[in-house]
Amino acid sequence: MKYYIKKIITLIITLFAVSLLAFWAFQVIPGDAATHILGTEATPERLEALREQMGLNRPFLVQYFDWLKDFLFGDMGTSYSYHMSVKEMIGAKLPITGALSLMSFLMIVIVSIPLGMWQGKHAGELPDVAAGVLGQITMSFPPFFLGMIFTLVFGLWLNLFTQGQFISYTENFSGFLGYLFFPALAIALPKIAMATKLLRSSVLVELQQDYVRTARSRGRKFNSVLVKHVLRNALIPVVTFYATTLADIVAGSIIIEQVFSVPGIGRLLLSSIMNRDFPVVQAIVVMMAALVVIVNFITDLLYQFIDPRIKVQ
Amino acid sequence: MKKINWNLRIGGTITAVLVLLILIGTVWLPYDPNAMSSADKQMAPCLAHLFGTDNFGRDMFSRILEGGRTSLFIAFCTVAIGVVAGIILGSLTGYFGGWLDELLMRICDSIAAFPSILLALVVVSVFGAGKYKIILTLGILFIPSFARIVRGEFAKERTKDYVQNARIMGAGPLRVMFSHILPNVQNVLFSSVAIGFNNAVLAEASMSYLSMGVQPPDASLGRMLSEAQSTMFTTPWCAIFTGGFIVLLILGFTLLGQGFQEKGVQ
Repeated sequence: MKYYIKKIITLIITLFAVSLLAFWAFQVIPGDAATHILGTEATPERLEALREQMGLNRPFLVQYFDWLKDFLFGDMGTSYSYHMSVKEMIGAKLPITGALSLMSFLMIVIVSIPLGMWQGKHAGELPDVAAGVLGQITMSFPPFFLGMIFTLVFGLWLNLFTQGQFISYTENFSGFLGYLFFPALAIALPKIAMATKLLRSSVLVELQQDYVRTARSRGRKFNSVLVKHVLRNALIPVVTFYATTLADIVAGSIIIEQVFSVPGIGRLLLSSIMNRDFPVVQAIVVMMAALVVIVNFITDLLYQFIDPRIKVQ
Repeated sequence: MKKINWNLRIGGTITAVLVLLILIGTVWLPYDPNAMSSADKQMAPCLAHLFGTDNFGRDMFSRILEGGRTSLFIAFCTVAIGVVAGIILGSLTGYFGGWLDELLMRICDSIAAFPSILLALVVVSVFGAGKYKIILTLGILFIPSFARIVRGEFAKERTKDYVQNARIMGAGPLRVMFSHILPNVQNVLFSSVAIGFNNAVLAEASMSYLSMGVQPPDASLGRMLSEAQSTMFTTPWCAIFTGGFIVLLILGFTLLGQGFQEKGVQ
């Protein structure tokens, strides 16, 4: 119990620090919100009046807590460029990036676990060596370059999809998933190679353990030992990898959305950076950072179930 | 029989060839990378133009070497910042320990947990893009990972006999840290430097692809890729050779990193 309380307190402190940092980062930019809204040619009197109205003259910490309170209740401010509520802008894009990230993550888990087990079982044989070399090369591909190759091969040559013709989830859900398949694959492939390599070496270490010999000597089939005993232990280091991957996928989607013209959070973030639309940038950054912190927290808890030894330490 | 360290050999060869090509490119290139020629427009790879020419008739081979130079320069500076600061921070905290060690490592943990591209984008949106800003940003972002590795090694070595011995002989902490411990952790250090290069090349290419990194007139592989994307159908070789060069750079550094790791274990 003490362990959980300590973990939760650390989580809250980290979230707090991250949000404070994000808030502060956008305060040091030259020119405040009033200048951004009214433009550089506004008279000092008008600027001052707007600052008073927006509460920009108050102390930094007061502004921060005010912003944090609004943020927690779902009010993320108004966009400078579109004069829309940031919450609406992000809300419209969230399902797209969410679906893309989830698809990518599922691909990684579904392919890397059986492949890593299979390579671990057949370690040193020709197919394993070939898969290892192929994996090593795949790992070196930047996802955005893979995405470009996919648009060339599957988009332009094989006509499986049309680059740039995004299908919204509201009009055609399966078409939407179909369009996201290749972007998701481009993010997933290098990660699949990394996870497979990690699981393979982890399986190799576990196969040397005494419990494998014991289970085998009691007449259990090799494959059944592999699935029932080895997998559970071999997955422990891989779970950490999956967790850090989740953060990388979300970050990777920023770039991949650009390659495939997917109108998700990443494109919104980039266009907002270009337009210096800081309320939008700030909201997206805080949300992504919070996601990373929370995923790390869940991984720590998940560890308890896979490896009960960790709690003792 | 001694096992041949294939990762080190292949990685070293790939890296050496690419770095040599880029270095030769600083003094001599087959064509001016920015010279346009309407006669040689959109030429497929041939003997005169090894990697073909782009939409404006510029020689891709020369352009890629020029872009590679920028990428390598940025990677070198970034890793240098990360390694120097990482060694100083990591050796001090690892050797002395204490509450400062605990605090610094917690901070490093939280920075390292974030995808570096997200943090780099935040910095760019606050301070603007450009070659030197990218170097500084990525360099600072890489400090935690180096500091953590160095710290772990120093904390491990600290208790070993040879360190105790040196201490008894009267060596001061600085001498113990830098002339006794540092040479013993060199393989780990080389491996993390190679992985650092790999991450730096990838991060720079991604940032420049998003036009948040190197700005023209500086050539950059990432930027060239984003330009090549619009001519993917007519001149696919532009994208393929540029991307292929990035893949080879990353592959070389990854293999080098793994090779040094194996060497450290043996």
